[in-house]
Amino acid sequence: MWRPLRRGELDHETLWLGVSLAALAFAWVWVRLGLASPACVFHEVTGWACPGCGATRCVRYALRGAFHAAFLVNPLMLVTLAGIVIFDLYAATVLVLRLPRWRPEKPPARAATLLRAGCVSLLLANWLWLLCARV
Amino acid sequence: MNWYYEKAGQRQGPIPESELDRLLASGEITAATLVWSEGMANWTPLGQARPTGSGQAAAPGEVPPEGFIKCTATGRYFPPSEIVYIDGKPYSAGAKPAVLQGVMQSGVVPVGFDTARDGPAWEQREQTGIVKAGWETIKAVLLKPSDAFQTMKREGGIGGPLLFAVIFGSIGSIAGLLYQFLMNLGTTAVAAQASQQTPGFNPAIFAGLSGGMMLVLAILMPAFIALGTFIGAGILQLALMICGGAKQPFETTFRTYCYVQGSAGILQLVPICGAMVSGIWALVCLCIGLSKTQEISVGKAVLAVLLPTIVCCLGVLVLGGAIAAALVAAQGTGQ
Repeated sequence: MWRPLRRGELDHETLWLGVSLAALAFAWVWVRLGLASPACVFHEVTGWACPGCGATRCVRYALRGAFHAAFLVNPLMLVTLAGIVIFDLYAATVLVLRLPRWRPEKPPARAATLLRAGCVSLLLANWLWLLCARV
Repeated sequence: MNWYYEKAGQRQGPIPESELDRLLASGEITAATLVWSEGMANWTPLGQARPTGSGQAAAPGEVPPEGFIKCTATGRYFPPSEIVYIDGKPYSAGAKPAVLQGVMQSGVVPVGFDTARDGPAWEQREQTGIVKAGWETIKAVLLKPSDAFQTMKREGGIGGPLLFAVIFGSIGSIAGLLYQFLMNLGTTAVAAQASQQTPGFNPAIFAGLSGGMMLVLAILMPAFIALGTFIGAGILQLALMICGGAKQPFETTFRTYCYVQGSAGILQLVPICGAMVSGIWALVCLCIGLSKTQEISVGKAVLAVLLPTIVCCLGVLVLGGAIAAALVAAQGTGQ
C-alpha cells in the first residue's frame, strides 16, 4: 500500500538510507585501510564454513565490482546487498520527489508462516552451498 | 461538558466527553494534546486537564475511585456501568467504536493509550536532569529489567533512547579502550626487554602508535555506537519477524535495544572482566526486555536474540552437541 507518511510516524526511508550509506562508508574505509576481517572460530576449528562465512569477502569483492567472485563466496550476502541497493534507490526517489511511501499490509497468518519458512530455507540452502563450495 | 482541543495549531471543537475519549482511543489525540474547557484558565495537556468524576484521569500515584475500572484504551477510570469488555480487556463506552475499528483493520485488539507505560526515567530527563535520569534508568534496566520494560514507553520517538545508548555506551566503550591501552603499555615494557635482541624495535614508537590508534577509536566511538545500534536493532527486528515475535513495530525494538545497550555498556567501566559481563548481561536484559515490550514469551525472545548468533555459528552448536554426545557415549562405554 502506498500512502503519505503520517504525522509522528517513523521515517524508515530516511533512517535506513542514512544507516546503509554510513555502513557503506565504514566498509569502504575498512577495505581501503586494509584492516583485518573478523575470523570465524568455527571455520578455524573445523575447517567447515559456518552459515555466515564468506560474508565479509563477499562485501569486499562487491565493493571492487567483482560480482561473480562475490556470488561464489556467499550468494545470500550478495542478494542481500542487491536488496539494500534497491531499497536505497527507492528511498532516495521517494525522498527527493516527495512521493507516497510503501507500507505493506500485514500478511495473513498462513502467508507469514510461509514467508518465515522461506527465510529459514534460504539460510539453510546458502549454508549448504558454502559447505559444498568449501568457502 | 464540552471540550476544545488543538490540532495542527488550530482550535477544534466543541466536542463532548465521549468524543474526546474516542479521539484518544483512536490515537488522533494524545495525553500531550492541549485542551480547554469552560472554567479552565489556560490550555492544558489532556493528561492533566481531566476533572474528577466519571472518566477520572489516572495521575501517577493517584488512588482511583473505589470500584472504578481502568479503560485499556484511554488509561482512565470509569464506573463498571460504563465499561465493556473486548477480548477480555475493559474499555470505556466512548473508546469502544475506535477499538472495534482497530480490530477490523488489523485483526488484533489495539493497545491504545497505555498510560501504564511512561518509563524509563530517561524519558523524563528534561524534568529530572540527564545525570539523575541516566542513573535511574541504568539501575532499573540492570537490576530490575522486568519492571523497567514492563513500564517502558513503546513509542515516542527514537532520538531519546539513541542519545542514551550513545552517551552511556560511549562512556563504557572508551573506558574499555583505556584499559586496553594500559595493558598494551604493560606489554610494551616486556617488549622493551625483547627489543634488546630485536634491532630496530622502538618501544616508545610502539606505545605512541598504540595510543594514537586508541584516541582515534575513542573519538569515533559515538558514531560507531549509533551506527551499530541501528544495525543491531534492525537485525533483531528481522529475527523477531522470522520467529513470529514482532508484535510491535521497529520503534519498540529499537527503544528496547538502546536502553539495554546503554545500560549494559556502562558495565565496561569495571576493569578486566567488564566487557564480558556487559555482553552477557546485555543478552539477558534484551531477552527479558523484548518479552515485556513485544509481549511475547521469554522463549521466543531468547530465540530471536540468539538467532543472529545461531546463523553465524550454528556449526558451533552442532559441534558442541556432537562433542557432548561423544563424551556421553565414551562415558557409557567406560562403564
